Amino acid sequence: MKIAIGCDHIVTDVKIKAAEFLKKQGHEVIDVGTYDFIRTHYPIYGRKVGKMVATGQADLGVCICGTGIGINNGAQKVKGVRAACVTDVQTAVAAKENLNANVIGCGGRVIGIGSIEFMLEAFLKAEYKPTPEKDALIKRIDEMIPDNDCIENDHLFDEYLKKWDEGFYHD
Amino acid sequence: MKVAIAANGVGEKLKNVVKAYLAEKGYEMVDLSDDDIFTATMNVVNAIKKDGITRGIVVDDYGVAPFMIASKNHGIVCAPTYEDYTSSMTRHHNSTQIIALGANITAEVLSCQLAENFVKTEYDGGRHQIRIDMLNREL
Repeated sequence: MKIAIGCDHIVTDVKIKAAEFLKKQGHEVIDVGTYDFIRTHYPIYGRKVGKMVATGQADLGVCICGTGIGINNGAQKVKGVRAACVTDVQTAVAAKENLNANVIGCGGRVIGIGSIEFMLEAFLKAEYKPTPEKDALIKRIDEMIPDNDCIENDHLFDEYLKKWDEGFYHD
Repeated sequence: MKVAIAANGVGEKLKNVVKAYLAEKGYEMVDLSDDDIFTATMNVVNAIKKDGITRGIVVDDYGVAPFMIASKNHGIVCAPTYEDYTSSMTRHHNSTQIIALGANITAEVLSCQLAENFVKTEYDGGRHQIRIDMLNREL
């Protein structure tokens, strides 16, 4: 399976370990970054993973940040993505079986690599179990986001990065 | 503080426990439950977007569907929340307005604590705001 994986600068080491695990399982892994520990912004990588999945360049996506919440919201806001952010195997499996989730995530500061490996393996093995009710809910979710420029516009965040460089966003 | 809360059938029991706990702590609870999880979640989203309520809680079996539904609204950040760290940090860093709880995963005592952490914690702002602005540009 082709799997896109992304993270922010807080958990790059965890992401690398998760990617290595997926490769050992025989999957093709596309690491969209970030690649080091230099401060960056989780929506960049959530969107990148979401875009890979939504456009069919990857079969599934994996998103990890400190809690998992930021980057998985970043992925979720891409049309066609159905992301789950979990701490356990049961929720990961339910996300696939009930909602055919195509992005799975977690907090790299929340759960350890052992739990992440269990969760990833179970998610990848699980299969969507369709019913008319589940199909209808998935359709409603997929239709929520109107057509927009999120997928094709790779300069989506330029104005905010410029403001960041100018010191607009300070603590 | 007003807190919107909603569940579908499978989340009803846990929702009532969390609702009673927060009411006891002095929060004004607005119950927007519906048997359909899409409707229940959108009721909470709309309470935040239109009625000036700043915190919402949605309960179903695993918290996954409310996360998908709530986060696909412009201006909404939703956190599926299963442990303490996320319940606080997602307010500090993500300005999260809605948490999703899973009745199959999180027991009553922990769920009440997660909900309390979430409603009482404020957003840090500052450098974190660029990430919120980016999320709001995506959708």
